[in-house]
Amino acid sequence: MGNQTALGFLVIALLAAGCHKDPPLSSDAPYELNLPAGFSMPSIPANNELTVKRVELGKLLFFDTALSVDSTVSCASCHHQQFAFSDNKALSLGVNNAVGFRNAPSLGNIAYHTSFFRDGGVPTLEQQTLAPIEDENEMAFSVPGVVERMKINPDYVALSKIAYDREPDAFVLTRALAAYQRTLITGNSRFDKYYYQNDVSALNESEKRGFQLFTSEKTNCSVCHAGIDFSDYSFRNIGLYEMYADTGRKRITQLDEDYGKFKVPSLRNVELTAPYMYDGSVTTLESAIEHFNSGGKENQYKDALVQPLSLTTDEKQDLLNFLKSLTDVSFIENEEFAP
Amino acid sequence: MSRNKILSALLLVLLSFTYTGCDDPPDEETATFVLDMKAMVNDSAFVLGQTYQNAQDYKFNIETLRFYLSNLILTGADGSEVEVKDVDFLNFENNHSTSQSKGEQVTGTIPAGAYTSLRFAIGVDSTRNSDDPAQYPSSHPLSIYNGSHWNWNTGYIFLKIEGSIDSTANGSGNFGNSFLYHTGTNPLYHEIQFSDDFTVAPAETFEYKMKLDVNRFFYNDSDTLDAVNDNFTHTTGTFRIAERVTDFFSGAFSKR
Repeated sequence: MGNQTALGFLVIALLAAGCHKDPPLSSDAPYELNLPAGFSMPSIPANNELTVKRVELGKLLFFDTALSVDSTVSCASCHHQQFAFSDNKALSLGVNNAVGFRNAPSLGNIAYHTSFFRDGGVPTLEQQTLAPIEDENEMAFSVPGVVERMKINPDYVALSKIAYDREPDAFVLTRALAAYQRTLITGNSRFDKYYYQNDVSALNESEKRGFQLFTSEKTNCSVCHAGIDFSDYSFRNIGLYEMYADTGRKRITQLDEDYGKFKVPSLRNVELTAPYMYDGSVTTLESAIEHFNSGGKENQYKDALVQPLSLTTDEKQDLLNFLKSLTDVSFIENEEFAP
Repeated sequence: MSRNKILSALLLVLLSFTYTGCDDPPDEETATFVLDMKAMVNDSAFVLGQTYQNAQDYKFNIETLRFYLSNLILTGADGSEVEVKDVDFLNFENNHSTSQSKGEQVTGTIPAGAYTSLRFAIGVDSTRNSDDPAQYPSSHPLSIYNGSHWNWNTGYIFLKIEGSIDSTANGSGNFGNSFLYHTGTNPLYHEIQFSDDFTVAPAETFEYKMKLDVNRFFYNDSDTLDAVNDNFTHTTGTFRIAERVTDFFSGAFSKR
């Protein structure tokens, strides 16, 4: 053929090659965390940076009942997105309806926590995943058992290779679950719009008064429920009981002064995470407020900040309304987090 | 002097450096050290699940027996220290001990030569005790696959002894009671030392045979363990029992 025709064919061929936009099947990419206004990047371990495939694998595992011995219980069985990844029971039910030890906490903003479990016995999110799998009252299984099931699942095998460049194993299981959980960021409540996004109309007057009260020296709520996640992640004895059957932090440290201390929970989405306290014994937000208003029950190790507050009915209502403004509807409806 | 002669002289000087000034020291000769640890009851190999009678005349058996051994170190006759192994896991539930010749083994490469003592610790040392077991491959001693880790209070279970025991001395072996001893936490990391002269020849596989006397789990020179009443510990909350069990266990090792 003539030179021009050949050149024409060449140009067309080149253009066609350039238009082939399908990504190769075996690629991964960084997962960009969409941080709400005011949030800093959480600390992420160097060997578990967030990628699309890691989060995808972690999400599959989070919703997979195969992590339990009889394939009936998954992480999501006790951490429901509609309850901000907590449960609506005081104590969740595991395999064979076994009753759990403590109230399932919300996983919202879990990426920012500095220790895990209500007594802080575990230092990393990766390590936390080991416990529910092996707990008799939760998944009643074993990590080696879960790994064996992963190895015969082609999706898990393929994803493990892409995400972590290895076969499914304990490392992949724990890292992937941690990666997915780190994406569960909640920071888009009406309060956030008001405070971090400067929308002064996002809160009504009662809610604004409630916020003022929350941060005032009259209540000192924000001393413990501090900062952008409404918790300093410290351990406090709030006088829930005179005598604690579950000694909390003391179980870990064996120190008398840690008697009855439990991790301060975040108050984000608190409207959705009833019942409250480490044992789910406080069923409504109103009674939670009343607990602090009353100053709690006396015990030797109760925190000095927990004192009778003498709140008026209106003040309690304002506080309640403020707490409800911490609900982030976009968090519980975000399809990214759902299977 | 001609240029050629100067060059030759320089060449000679260079060559002399090559052959005299830059010799490497001779290679150290190495050998293989094998700590062969056999669980025994009196003079027989310990058998998992078999009924025995302890020094207090209680019939008992043991169904779980495993422990971490760390920092196996030999001291040379010249005072130098040689690490054989940083951490290893010995599990007597695998029926190795039913074999007449072998126990659980800890192996490492060492320089050949004369030695005067060895030491090791029961447990995992504090630099590793809060490690994440999931990061280790299943063949590694610190892997979660060894089932010796507390997942709710991060740390390794240094020693697990579990079994059953009669309620009374000279009983029928009906085992009305069970015992469970899980020790751990950094304060219970426990070093043991043995003075002994031995020489390891180059390229030798040197087996150092030791005995773990199961009877000694229940008594030592100063204390006796009541495995009926003091029958349970996960260490936190029952530290004293775990500490005593550690002491008994430490006294159960000897050369065989």
